Amino acid sequence: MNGIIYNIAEAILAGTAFSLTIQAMVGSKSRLKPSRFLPYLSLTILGYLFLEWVPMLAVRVVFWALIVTLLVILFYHMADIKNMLYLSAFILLNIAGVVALNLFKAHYVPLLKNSRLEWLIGLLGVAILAALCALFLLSWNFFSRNSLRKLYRVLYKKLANTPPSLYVRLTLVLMFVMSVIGLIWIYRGILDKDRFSLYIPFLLLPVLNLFGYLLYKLAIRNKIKLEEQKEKYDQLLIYTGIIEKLTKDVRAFRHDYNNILLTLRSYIEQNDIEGLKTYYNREILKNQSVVLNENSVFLYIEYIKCVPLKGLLTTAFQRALERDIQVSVSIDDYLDETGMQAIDLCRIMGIFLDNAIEAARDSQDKVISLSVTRNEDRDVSIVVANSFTDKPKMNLLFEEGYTTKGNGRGTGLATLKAILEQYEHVTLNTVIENGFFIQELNISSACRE
Amino acid sequence: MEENNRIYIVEDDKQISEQIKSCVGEYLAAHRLRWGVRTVTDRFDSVVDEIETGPDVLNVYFLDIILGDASNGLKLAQKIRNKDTYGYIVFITSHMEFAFPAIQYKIRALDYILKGDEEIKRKIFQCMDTIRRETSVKNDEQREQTILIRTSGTDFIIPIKDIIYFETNTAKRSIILHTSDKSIEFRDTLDELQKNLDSLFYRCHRSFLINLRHVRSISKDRSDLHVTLSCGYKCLISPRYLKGLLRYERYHL
Repeated sequence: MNGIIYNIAEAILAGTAFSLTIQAMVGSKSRLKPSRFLPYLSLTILGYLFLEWVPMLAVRVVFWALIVTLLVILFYHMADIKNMLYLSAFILLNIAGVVALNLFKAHYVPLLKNSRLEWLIGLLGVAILAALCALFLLSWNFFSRNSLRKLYRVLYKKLANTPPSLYVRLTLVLMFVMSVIGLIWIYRGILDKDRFSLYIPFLLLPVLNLFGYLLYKLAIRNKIKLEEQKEKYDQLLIYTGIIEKLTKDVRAFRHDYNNILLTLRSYIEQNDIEGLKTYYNREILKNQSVVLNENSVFLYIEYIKCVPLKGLLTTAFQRALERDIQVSVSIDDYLDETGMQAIDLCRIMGIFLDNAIEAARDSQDKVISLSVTRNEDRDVSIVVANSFTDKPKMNLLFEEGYTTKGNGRGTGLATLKAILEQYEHVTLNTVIENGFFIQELNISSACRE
Repeated sequence: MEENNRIYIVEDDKQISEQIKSCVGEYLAAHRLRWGVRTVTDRFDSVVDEIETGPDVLNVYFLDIILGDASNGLKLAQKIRNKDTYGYIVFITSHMEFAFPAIQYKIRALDYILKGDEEIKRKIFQCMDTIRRETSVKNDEQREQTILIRTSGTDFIIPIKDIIYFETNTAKRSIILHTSDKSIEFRDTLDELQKNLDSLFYRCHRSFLINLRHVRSISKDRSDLHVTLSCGYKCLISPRYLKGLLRYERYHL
């Protein structure tokens, strides 16, 4: 009779842990929905009970193979660091269940002669278990106390921000410890011969865990690579387009230049110095300044080493010049590694320049100026300044939906803020000064290494 | 005290350098000022070592933004700015297309003078007038209290009375200072800041330190506790800090 109660208790414990894990992996971080939760729970409990009363090894193996396959599939699709934590918690909950049950069992057989050592190992297991359970619960904001949440954030951020290699190493160590503890209890299970096969999956789980994680990494890396390639290709297209346009401009200019020379000759032949003067001042000086200006802007592009950013700046300048905006650029050093993802830097610069062009176009002076400087500590500072007509309201600037440009267009700066939240070493200053709206992005070198 | 003031003219073109020097000399003579004038036409980096700074020293720099090949004027300006936080920098440039608005902000330059401009003298006088006006206020008994904010990029000198509030950016553990026309992000803690500010700064919430000079109205609705500051900024109030805020309101608003 006692045996049946223990079996049912173990089944419920394992079932709960398993369903919690699945629930966590399938999504819905914030709330447990019974509709999703119950099927897994009942399935697992039934499975356990089934195994208890059908002692055939082959059937058990098939049952566990099914669960394992399910886990692999889940991992392949949605494994990430958080899920790893859930899974670890799952494993440990199970081990704890075994520990608890075995402690109460009548046919308890000490594994080691030294019972104190055994107790220590047991305690170690429980300590790790407690830590992981805490993380597990905290991830659902189970505790609302600030200190605990902070602890979770720090721990979780640490895990999430460390490069995969280190994380994999950490996981391995953790898994190893868990496997050792698990093994001991499984060994105990061997003594209780009927229940042995029940514990095999626990032995396998750490391995599967790692396997799934690696698979996931591989998939993600391929995906990122593809995306990067596509992005580079797109940028290249834009870039070549611009170069084509520039060549066309040069050709057109040469054509104009010939015409100008011809006109000049006609003035000279007629000795019309006054006409020559007015023509020179009116036509040539004006054209020259435009051409020079354009050149100086694009000359700086070579300092930018990040190809997508190069493309973005070129298009933006081109767009600005087409709108009769005076663009001036000063870049005092090569801009290469910033510690920011190229895509994020490009998005930020895109938002800066889009806003600047839009505001400058409607302003009286029509001026945009960009400077990239790098100080002795190798901190990079990017400044975009533009003239404007409607002074933006500083208190609303970063609110979703705020814009000086009419309805439905004010998402830029809110997005910008969201991007910047990810980078602790990047700060943003926004200043209205001397009639210019100025955005300064500071990328400190401190965290780059 | 006035003898400590110095004007540096850093320019590799001797002719321009002389022209500026004579304009400055004329201005100083006209106003009976005894400021030192130093012209530098080569080995520009040595200027940085020469600079003396201190509470009663005022330095003014007329600085060519493009200096030969070896020494970039902008880099020099940055070095000078790093050493002399409160000095005045006026750029000399021949390029209109130079990214002046951005650079001016970056270096906190006062203004710029165009080489070959016919009104160069008027422009210099104008700059000197501005400098004298600002520094005479500074030397006054009731001089404006300012705070120096060092961000990872530009440094800012902000008058205390202009600060509307500080807020913590929880996700990044940084502080954002808000004024009517600036929002500046830097690394510090609200506790540290409050120590260095006067008693008119009140911590009304874990994430907000407000300047009581700018309080416009307080919403006491328990479900929506907030204080409205100048320029329409809104900050949350913690219930346990509400009392202190109301006490202030009773006496001063």
